[in-house]
Amino acid sequence: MTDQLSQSSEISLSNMSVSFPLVRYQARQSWVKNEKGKTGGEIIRPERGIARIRALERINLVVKTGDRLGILGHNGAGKSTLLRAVIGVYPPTEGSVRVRGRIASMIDIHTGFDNMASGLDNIRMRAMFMKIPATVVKARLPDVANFTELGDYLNLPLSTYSSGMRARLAFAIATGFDPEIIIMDEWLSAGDRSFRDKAESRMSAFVNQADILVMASHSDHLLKKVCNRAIILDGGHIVFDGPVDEAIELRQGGAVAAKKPA
Amino acid sequence: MKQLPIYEATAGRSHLIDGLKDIREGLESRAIWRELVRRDLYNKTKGASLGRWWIIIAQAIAISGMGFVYAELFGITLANYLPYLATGLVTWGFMISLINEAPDVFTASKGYLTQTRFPLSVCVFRYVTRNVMTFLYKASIIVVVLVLFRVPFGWSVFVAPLGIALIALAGFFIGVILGLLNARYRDIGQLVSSLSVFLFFMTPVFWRADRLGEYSWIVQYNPLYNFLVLVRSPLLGEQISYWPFLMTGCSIAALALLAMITYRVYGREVIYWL
Repeated sequence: MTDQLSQSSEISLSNMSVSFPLVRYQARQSWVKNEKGKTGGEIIRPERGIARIRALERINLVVKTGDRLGILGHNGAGKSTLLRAVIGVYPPTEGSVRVRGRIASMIDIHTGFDNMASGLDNIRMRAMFMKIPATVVKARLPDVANFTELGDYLNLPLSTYSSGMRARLAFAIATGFDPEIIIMDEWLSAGDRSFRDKAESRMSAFVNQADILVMASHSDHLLKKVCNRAIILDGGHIVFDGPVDEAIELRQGGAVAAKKPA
Repeated sequence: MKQLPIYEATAGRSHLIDGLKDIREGLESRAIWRELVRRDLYNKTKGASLGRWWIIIAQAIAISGMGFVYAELFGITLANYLPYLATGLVTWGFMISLINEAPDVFTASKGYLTQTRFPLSVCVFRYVTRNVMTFLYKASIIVVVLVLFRVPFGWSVFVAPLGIALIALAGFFIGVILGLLNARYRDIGQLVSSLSVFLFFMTPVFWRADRLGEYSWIVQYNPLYNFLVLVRSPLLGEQISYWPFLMTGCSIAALALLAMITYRVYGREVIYWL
């Protein structure tokens, strides 16, 4: 194998399932026999032991360098769970995950912020939570700081910021370092109208430099613009894997359920 | 070409080697838990301008209050009692807050654990370090009291840091055990907090073990008392027998074993329970 030589980024999920145990939850006998819902994974109620929600079932997926993968599916289809399994928050309950390359998760870009610390300190801290080496942070700090256009406010505590200023800071940090793999839940943007254009071009550059992008989205327009491949999730299964246009068409036609693999 | 990091996870129970890997990763991310400890200590005093001094002040007030009352009740001079009480209470506070906070080790970090991949050990290091720091602040009172009452020092004083390190190590394992168990069964936290007052009165912290007369042998089997003796006796210039070393050594071995078992059974699933 060329594993060691090529060193290209890759995500590979094989037979991966993720199911959530329903602990601290007492199921009551329901009055009405519910019709099979349209959302969510299958609920498994064993005779003994705890009930589980099967959020993802036997997912097989390989994403390689150059792939811009869009994830489609209605609410509760398993999109966020899939993203979290890739970044390593949820260890698989069946099968395995393997990811090569530094991952940047854009799922929650505020994790690690401290209200009492200054904007500059928060850039350092947030970078620390993103596991970016101190030398890289030091080199990039001026660029990130300048991009926010927050000026003197960077020396004031975060608690003095408006929500828009906070969003600018978070956005600047999130896009301030270049990872191989980007994991995103919808496109990121921030700020007022003038900032928005700047943010848009920075975001595009950020995504373009990466080897792999995995993005969950409900926006057809965005998916068409950014992605070159798409999967459709339904009830925790991958029911389609192929070109974006086809995926969008399929989903609109509602013909997806029929294509569920055995 | 640069070496790319690899993240790999396969379903199944976690092995001991995963635990060691987790601890190594946790040590590599020490900048993160240092920062979290700083925030914890700040939040503890909720922005008071005296800040961390309040940790010391609160402890000093408790010691002086108890000191006057119990010296009188027991009929001992203050010079005799206060060094005993100060070393006892401060060390006890260290141990009992490690025990009390252990159930929340993982549940308190839910926000971080569910957003980014985080070595679990970061949560444990955070909790141990926070408690060691708090203890060190309070230990300044011990120093003042010992100097004030001219308690004689001997070479044995160097056993005390060893005792402190052993308590911290035991705390690490207790954090793993109770933290994982409480993530699954929230009753653990309730049980532990209901026990802590009971343990305080059952352990010779502010009273002397020999006051129990013919029953005083019982406390020799109290692990908490043995950890306490390992820190207190050397500071008071008292002789220590082999017994506390044996008891604390056995306790740590037992805790380490239990920690490995709980990690193996629950380590993988903990994230799903938070």
